[in-house]
Amino acid sequence: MTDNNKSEEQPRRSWLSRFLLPKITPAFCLRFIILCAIAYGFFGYLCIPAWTNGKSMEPVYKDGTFLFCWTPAYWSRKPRPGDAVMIKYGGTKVMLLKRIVAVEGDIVEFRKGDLYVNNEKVTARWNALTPCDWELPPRTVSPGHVYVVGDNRAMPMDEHQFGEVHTSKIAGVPLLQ
Amino acid sequence: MKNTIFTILLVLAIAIIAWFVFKPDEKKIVQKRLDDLCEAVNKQGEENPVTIAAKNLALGNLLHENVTINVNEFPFNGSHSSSELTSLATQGRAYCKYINVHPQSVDILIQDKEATIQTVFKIKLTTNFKGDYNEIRSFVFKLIKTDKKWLFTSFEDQQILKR
Repeated sequence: MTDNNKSEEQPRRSWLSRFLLPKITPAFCLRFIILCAIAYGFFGYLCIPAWTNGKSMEPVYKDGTFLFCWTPAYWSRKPRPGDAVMIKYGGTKVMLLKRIVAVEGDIVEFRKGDLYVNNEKVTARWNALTPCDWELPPRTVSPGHVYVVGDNRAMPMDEHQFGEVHTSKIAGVPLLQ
Repeated sequence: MKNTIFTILLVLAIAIIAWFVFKPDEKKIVQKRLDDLCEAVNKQGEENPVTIAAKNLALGNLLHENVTINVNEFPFNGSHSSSELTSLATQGRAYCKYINVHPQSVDILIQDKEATIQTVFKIKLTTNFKGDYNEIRSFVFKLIKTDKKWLFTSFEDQQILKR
């Protein structure tokens, strides 16, 4: 009996059947392990899946939004004002999502709800998404730090986590905005 | 022959993974102490005196003789004995109808007989008078191994963002 005859005896399986119930061969196992390793590296270190929990970045990022943290974002450039960033918050599983409003050396303050950086009122679109009545005396951002604030400034200032953070704590930027 | 080698490799891989997953580890013991601490603090509605006493005992067994607390806006910062702290915790728990303290991220570092836990807690409280409290906070806990038991000796919170 030839090989051709053998293959004729076994009915050819559909692509769906082959996809869902593949033959477990050493080659398949090797491909599977390589794929798992690539997925682990990509989604574990480069493009980390995350859910937002809280309202501090509304209306841009609503509570419960699914997004990815793209960690290579600052490999080739420095963080700059207007960037939404994800900040490591005691470990890698929990991150804060905030927006950079000032970088090192800048003077930041809130006057009657308006954000001033270096004594100039910030007029960028990302700065006026919600009504605000915050008052914060001027402070200078320390070297190696950035100043981050959430977009939802309709919240009372005391309930809002914001301030300066070292750039080494920035994990990346959110994807899927 | 090929299949035999493949089967042996597969069995070896499973054995290695199982060993790493199930081996007794100091980190797992410390993690269990953290879970026990959360269990002792958590409160699901009204508690009877037996439950309160059991939780007190559980909390007392987790604490070192001298415990240091340094938490932002906490009125009882400083050094306390374990009985003082247990008493404070009992009073604090009595002010709440519901307490849920859940670690969202835990990093444990063990050096000799000292362990450091860096954790992010999701805290949900319903108080009897001031309403709800819902926050995520970062803490560093320190433990010391005394008589083969890991005991909490320090509680500190971490201010990631500085205004």
